[in-house]
Amino acid sequence: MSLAIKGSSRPALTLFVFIIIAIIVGSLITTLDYFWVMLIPNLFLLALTVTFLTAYFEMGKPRHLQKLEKYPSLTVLIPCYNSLGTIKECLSTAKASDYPGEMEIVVIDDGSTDGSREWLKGQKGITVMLKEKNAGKAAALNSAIPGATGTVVACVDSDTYLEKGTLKHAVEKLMENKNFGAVTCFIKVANPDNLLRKIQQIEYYTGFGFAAMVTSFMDAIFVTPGPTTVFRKDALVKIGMYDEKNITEDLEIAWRLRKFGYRIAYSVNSIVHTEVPGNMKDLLRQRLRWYRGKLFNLRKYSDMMFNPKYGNFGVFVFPFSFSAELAGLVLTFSFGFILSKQIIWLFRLLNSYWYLNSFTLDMSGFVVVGTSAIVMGLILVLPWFFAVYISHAIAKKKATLTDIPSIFLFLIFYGTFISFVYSLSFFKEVNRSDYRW
Amino acid sequence: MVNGNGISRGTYLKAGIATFLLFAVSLSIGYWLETQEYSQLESRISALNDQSETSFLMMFFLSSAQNTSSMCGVLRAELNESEAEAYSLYLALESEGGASVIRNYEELRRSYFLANTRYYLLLRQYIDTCDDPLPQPILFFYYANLDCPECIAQGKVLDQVRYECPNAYVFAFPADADLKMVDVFTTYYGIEGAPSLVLGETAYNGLTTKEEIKAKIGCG
Repeated sequence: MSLAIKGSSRPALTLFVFIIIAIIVGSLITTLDYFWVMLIPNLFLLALTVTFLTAYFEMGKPRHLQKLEKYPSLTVLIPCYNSLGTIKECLSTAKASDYPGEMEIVVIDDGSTDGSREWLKGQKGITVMLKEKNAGKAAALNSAIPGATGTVVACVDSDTYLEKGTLKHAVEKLMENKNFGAVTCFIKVANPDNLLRKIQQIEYYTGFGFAAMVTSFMDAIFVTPGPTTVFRKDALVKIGMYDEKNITEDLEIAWRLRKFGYRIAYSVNSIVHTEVPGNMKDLLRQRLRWYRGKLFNLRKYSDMMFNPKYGNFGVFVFPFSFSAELAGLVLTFSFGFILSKQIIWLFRLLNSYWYLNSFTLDMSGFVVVGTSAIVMGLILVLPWFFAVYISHAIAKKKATLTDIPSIFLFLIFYGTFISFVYSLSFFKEVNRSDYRW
Repeated sequence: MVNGNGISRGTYLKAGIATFLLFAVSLSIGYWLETQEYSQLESRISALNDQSETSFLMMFFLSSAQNTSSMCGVLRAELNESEAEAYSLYLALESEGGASVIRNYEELRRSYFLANTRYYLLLRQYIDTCDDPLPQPILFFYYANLDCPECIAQGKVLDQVRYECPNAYVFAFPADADLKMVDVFTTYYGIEGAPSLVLGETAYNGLTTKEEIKAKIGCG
């Protein structure tokens, strides 16, 4: 969505923070060497992965969901803004759901200008709410939640496609425990048609498959993902529905549900397929929003950090999830130092060769680390590789030889990109730059 | 004890131990790999030191011998062989030492430096004793602990000089090593940094081209 919230630029503070971090990381590098400086934050992430793997092996197979005697009424809310290309399939898959109870579908057009409104007006069997002005997804949902006839509300993005049993399984899970305020789904990539999307597919398998399953077991689910989450309507109303001024309303509402004492469950059989960015520019924009939203909400919910009142979420998942941000910062700065140092080094070497009139392709001396460091790094990557393997198994996706490049890129280089985006988000947040959807 | 959330404290403990073990295993393997390389270099440097002792004894014998001509030939061959090994050790020491993340190569550098110094002095003594003006010692001062791509470029040029000039004997010394003898050399020759060369008795600070070096040592 093309909304923006005006920020308040603080370039002097941002520069100051940048310099301080650069000095800290630079001093560490000078004292400890690159390898150790880059290893330390990775150890935090390793500990997180190993804990998830340990929990995974302790939890056993997920239980089969009990069919309900009576399925509660369900309202599917689909906010739509300029989604003509995807809303048709989204709606058609929602309509094809085999939900056994009463089900209504409400599409809220949030001021589209691409012809979605006109198309929606002609659709039968759904309720269409037309908003004159684009006010954002949270506002669109909030305008529809009070009037929803269902006691259960499924919020579905207009670029997300449901499977037949998605809603049925999610509601079965939701009804398992009266304290469940929401149930999250297994989100998969709908269009893995290029390398970047294939890499994101692996990320979604690990994040919304493996990690979601484990954090659900720990009762510490981190987010109620935007593509599809099923809520109890009374829970949504009680907590005051979505925060319309929040750029990651799906993250914020999950943390607020916890604040109000609700639990969040996960249904691995509730599979949805969502469109993901196909180029770096769109991916960067999406991730900047996600990670800035996370940092923004950290300020709002800082009291949950290390708070045993919130169980494993408060004492482990919440604080450890920010180790990724910290690792991202340290890794980005270290990488920046290495890169600039090696560029200067190369320039000086070439300059010397030019002066000596003696060129050679031998680049010995350019290598930053040796075999031992590479072997150590590869050993430490093993748990991540294993997590990726398990994630594929959870997704019932057999990895083939053609998946090797994307898995390799995901394990080795994607983290570097994400680290960079974390750092950028951090500085944009320090700067209080404008928020964009 | 399950803390009500499906995961026990034992899970965290197990995960902590597993993380520690994994880290310990990777560290051990890294240490083992570096120790292998370190040990190989250590034994080569030790052999070089032993050889230098032998060469010194030979020189000592030579200085008191009547007929020096046959011994000079033997000593020259010995010096040729040792200089080649010493130079190859310099290359290995710098590439492996630079890439090492666990082992400290300072001790090896010192040991290597002493052997190299001995050979340099032997060569000088050989030139005087055997009255052989052909061998041309080249002292090459580089930075081992500081980034010095210029030193690498100068080293490549010296590789070529050694290949093209059989009379060139290159002795590489880390100018930033904390060794008294390095201070003696740098003070005596007026070395101001690295890379620097000493050709004959003259110091050349900064980069020196192959043509300049060859001209100074009378090669080609």
